[in-house]
Amino acid sequence: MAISQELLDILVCPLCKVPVKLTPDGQGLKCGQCRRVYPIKEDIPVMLVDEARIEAE
Amino acid sequence: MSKKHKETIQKQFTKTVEAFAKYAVRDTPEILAEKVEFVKPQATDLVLDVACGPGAFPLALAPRVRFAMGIDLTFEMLRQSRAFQAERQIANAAFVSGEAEQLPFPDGTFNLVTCQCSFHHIPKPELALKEMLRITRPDGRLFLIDTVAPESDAKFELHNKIEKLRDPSHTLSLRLTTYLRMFEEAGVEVTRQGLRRRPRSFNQWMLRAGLEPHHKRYQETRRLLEDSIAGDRAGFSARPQGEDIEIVHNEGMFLLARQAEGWEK
Repeated sequence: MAISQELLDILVCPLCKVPVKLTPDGQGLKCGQCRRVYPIKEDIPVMLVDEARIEAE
Repeated sequence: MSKKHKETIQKQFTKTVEAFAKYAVRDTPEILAEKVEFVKPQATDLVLDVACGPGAFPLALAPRVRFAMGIDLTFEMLRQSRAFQAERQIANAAFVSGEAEQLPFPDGTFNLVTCQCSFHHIPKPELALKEMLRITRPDGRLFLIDTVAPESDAKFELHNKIEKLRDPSHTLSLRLTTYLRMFEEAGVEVTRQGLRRRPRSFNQWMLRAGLEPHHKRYQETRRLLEDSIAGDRAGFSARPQGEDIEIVHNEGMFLLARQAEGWEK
């Protein structure tokens, strides 16, 4: 089972509430505002602030 | 929610994921069907089940709605949800990890938001309720189910003491009057309400928490429960049944809608 498109279409950053975008490597979802990247594990997005890393750019 | 409490919940439910999936599946198929009917699912509904555990409820709703999603704090539960989903070949469901007080969805997204037996794990349930309302469409509905604690102070204290001893991630089972006040303060009205007595086997209830008779915590919980039987001092209506004990959880089911006025974001 791949990651659900229906889910990708509506997910937002749990902090900023702005849409997140799939990273180029397909391994994370990035918030355009706070630059947090939420990991995707086994096709399950992990939208927990504690598990996100903040990217420099 | 504090990081420590989140970790307690994750630890508890990672440890018990197998028992949880195997033994209950808290609800029999009949009770699950009753809950599905209670929310009057619509074919156009986009649904989110908050704190979905092994996914029983969203997967039961999926065949009746447009799309059903489940969110949970514990990754292992979502893995289990996906396994059940694959087993039953349900295409219109998806699972995501997240927490009830910070949901990763835009305002007014869902026609129906459901949350079963989770408020007693949440230290500030009024915040979770507010967050669930945020992601519910203005004409949408919210469905809450949880055990209801006894009203009297003495029974309330002992009831929660037993629950907490069994499961350290248990915060507080709330009284019916507390729920109703919380709904009023959040500007929602109860459009449908049900109170059910759910008899359970004590041993299976303990197994779902990962506890067996040789565990110290099993023995301590059992002792407290047995001591409470005379006079039903903990409000579990406990009755010995051979080696086991039958206990009863009073379960409140609330279907909620926003009031036309008084709703504040």
